[in-house]
Formats: sequence, C-alpha cells, structure tokens
Amino acid sequence: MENNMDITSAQYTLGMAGNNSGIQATIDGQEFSVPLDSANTHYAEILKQVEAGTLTIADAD
Amino acid sequence: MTKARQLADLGNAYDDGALSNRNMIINGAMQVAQRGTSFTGLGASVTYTLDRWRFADSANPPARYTQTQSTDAPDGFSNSLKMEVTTADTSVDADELQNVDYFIEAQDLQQLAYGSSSAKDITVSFWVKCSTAQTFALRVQHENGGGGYTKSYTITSPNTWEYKTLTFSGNTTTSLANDNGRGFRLRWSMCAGSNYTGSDSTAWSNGSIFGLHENDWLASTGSTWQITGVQLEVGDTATPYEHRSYGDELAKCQRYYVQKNYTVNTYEPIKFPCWIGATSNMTGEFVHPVPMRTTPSVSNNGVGNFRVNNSEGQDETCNTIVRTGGNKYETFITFGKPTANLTIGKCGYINTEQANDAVLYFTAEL
Repeated sequence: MENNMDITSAQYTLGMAGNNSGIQATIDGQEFSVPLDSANTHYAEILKQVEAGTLTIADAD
Repeated sequence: MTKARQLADLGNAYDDGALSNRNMIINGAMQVAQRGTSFTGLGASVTYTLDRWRFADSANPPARYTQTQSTDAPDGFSNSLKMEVTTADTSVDADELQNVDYFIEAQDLQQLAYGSSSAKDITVSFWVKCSTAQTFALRVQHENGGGGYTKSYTITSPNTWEYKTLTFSGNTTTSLANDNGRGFRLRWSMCAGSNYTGSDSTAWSNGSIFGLHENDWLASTGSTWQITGVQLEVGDTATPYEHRSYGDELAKCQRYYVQKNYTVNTYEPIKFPCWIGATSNMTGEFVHPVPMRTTPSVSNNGVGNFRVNNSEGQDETCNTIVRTGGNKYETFITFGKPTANLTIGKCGYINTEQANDAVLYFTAEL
C-alpha cells in the first residue's frame, strides 16, 4: 500500500464571517491551511483519514 | 529519418488531431522548479519536487535519493530531472515500490474518447539517461477505475542520452471523468519488488505494475537516472518534442502550485497590503497568477519570517498565518501578532523580518 500523507493534527479555523472556513493541519511535518473543498487533495485525504477513524478534527478556538 | 517517413508521421499526427498543443505533459523539459532545484532524502514519503512531478513509494523501501534539476540534458534541452541514489538497496523486498509520478487532469484527456469503441492510442516519448544498463518501466494508470497499462524500456548504453517512445492502446471499456480530478497517473519505476514485476501489459489491466523493471542501479550509491523531453500525445506516432516558452510552462504549472517569495529588501518594505479587521491581526488578498485547479491549501516557511506592520508603531513579528477565505482565483490570508493593539478599520502591511525571505506556498496539486 502506498504511503498516505502523515497528518498529525487537524483543527477547524474560522473565516472572516466567523464560520468554519478551513482546517489548520500538520501534514508531513508542515503546517497547512486547508480549504473545505473536496477537490483539494489535502482536504480529500483529511476526510479519508477521518472516515477511517485515524484522524479527528478539533473544533475551532 | 527520411522525408517520406517525416511526411508519413505528419500525416499520422494530423489524423490523430495532434498537430498543435499536442504535448499533454506540462514541464516535460524540466524548466520550472518553483519549490527548489534539489530535494534530498526522497524515499519514504510522497514528495512534490520539480513542478508537476512528484516522488512516491510503498512499503518504506530503504533506498534513498536526491532529486535535482540538472543542467545535463540532450541537445535542444537545458534541464533534466535527475535522481541519484544516496542509500543503496541490494535486496529489494517483494512489496517495495518507489516511482516518479506525473498526474494529468481527467478533463484534459477527453479527446482520447476512453470508454468508447473509438478510444485513441497515446504515445509517450522521452529522453532518458542512466548510469546502469538495465530495464525500467512506465505505467500509465487510469485513475477512474480503468486499471493500468505498463511498458518497459531498456537502457542500452550507460551514461548516454537515449530517446524512447512507448505507445499505449486506447482503453475502450472505461471512460475518464470530465472533471478536474486525476485522470492519468504516469509512473516511472525506480524500485520494484517481485510483487510488482514479471511481465509487460498486452492489454489494459494485465501484466505487472512495473513490467520487466530491474533494480540493478540501486546496488550502489551514486547511481543516476535522468529524464527530460517528456511528451504524451494522441496517436501511435511520436513527434518531435513540442517546446514551450518558460513563461508558458510556468503559467501552466501555476494552475497546480504557486510559490510567492517576499524577498529581504529594505527599499521595498511593503510586501502584502492588508486591512485590519481585529486588534491582533490583519488580512490581505493574494490574487493567484492564474486560476488554480481548485481552492489551494496555504503554507509558509515559518511565521517568524513575516512581520505585521501598521503605520502607528505597533509592528510585531507574526505569530499565526491562517487562510480565512478564497477560491481558485484568490486567497485571503490573516496574519496574527501577539499584542492586541491594532486599530480596526485601518490599513497595514506585511513585510519580512529581514533575516530570511518570507515565502507563501499555494498548493492545488492532483
């Protein structure tokens, strides 16, 4: 099986309107602000790992 | 090549609809390297490298590589993608796999008419050079459930540029989605265990993933494999490489990745105009140079390289950078600072901390 992205943390972030607008995630050791767009490769992988039960997305601060 | 042969090939290309814009590979001449020109320690994770190219592995093989944008290239080319073995692997396990990848959007492959009786052949041509005479493989993988098709090629003379052409039959059974997701994945073998080798394909989805690949070159550090002039075109005929200008290639690459370097320069202090929407942060709009494939992820080279400025003396080193909105055309980024002393409604700007460049990365890769 090909190695997946290594996502060690994920937390929702708020947009300018105060709603959840993205996810701050540590992916392969690097911090990313990931949009909630299913065509985005990072977001698709986050959803996959959440569905597999290996990742939880924390609420926004 | 005789004139008659050239005319015949031109006729074939015409019939296949491949006379202009025929190269479906972006950065096939390895000119564009926004992320940098050298990538060390490749081997155990997916890593995007030269623009549009990436490295991937399976089962954590021990072999490690450095990839560089080399200036060693065949006549007519300025660059090549060069892989150099830095940790050898003399005993490749059956389940180990490493490859250099290239993805093509599915919507850009509609002309191939896959999933119909008129599905078209494709031909991949490239220049390759390896320090070891051995066989490698190229797999064209249909990313919408259509399996894969593998062909092998052999390096006959070590350390010599060789031109290879491989033709793959059209897939008449499985169509490609007309969307901005993955359509093809081209996989150039670097390392392949016995689970993945054995035979080439004679039809879609038969044969081994990496065909007749051999691992000889992995036996010693310093071994090299280089590639450039990569072209994928419709039909069964390889035509000469379709060169594009650097500007054209860069713009095509920026659909998938944009790197914005704010350089250390005291004479141009205002790098990124912002408005102040809260007492401890300010937000700016970055307009992408071209519409990106999808809404990009945003990263940076360290928040401490950015400085949050206003005109009233509350300047401070940035402590958070968060994407707060946007789409494929633009991204809104909010830069935070520790002290809540900005005046809401005023303007500010982002500068560098003057020690290092401040860099933003926008990623919409396949």
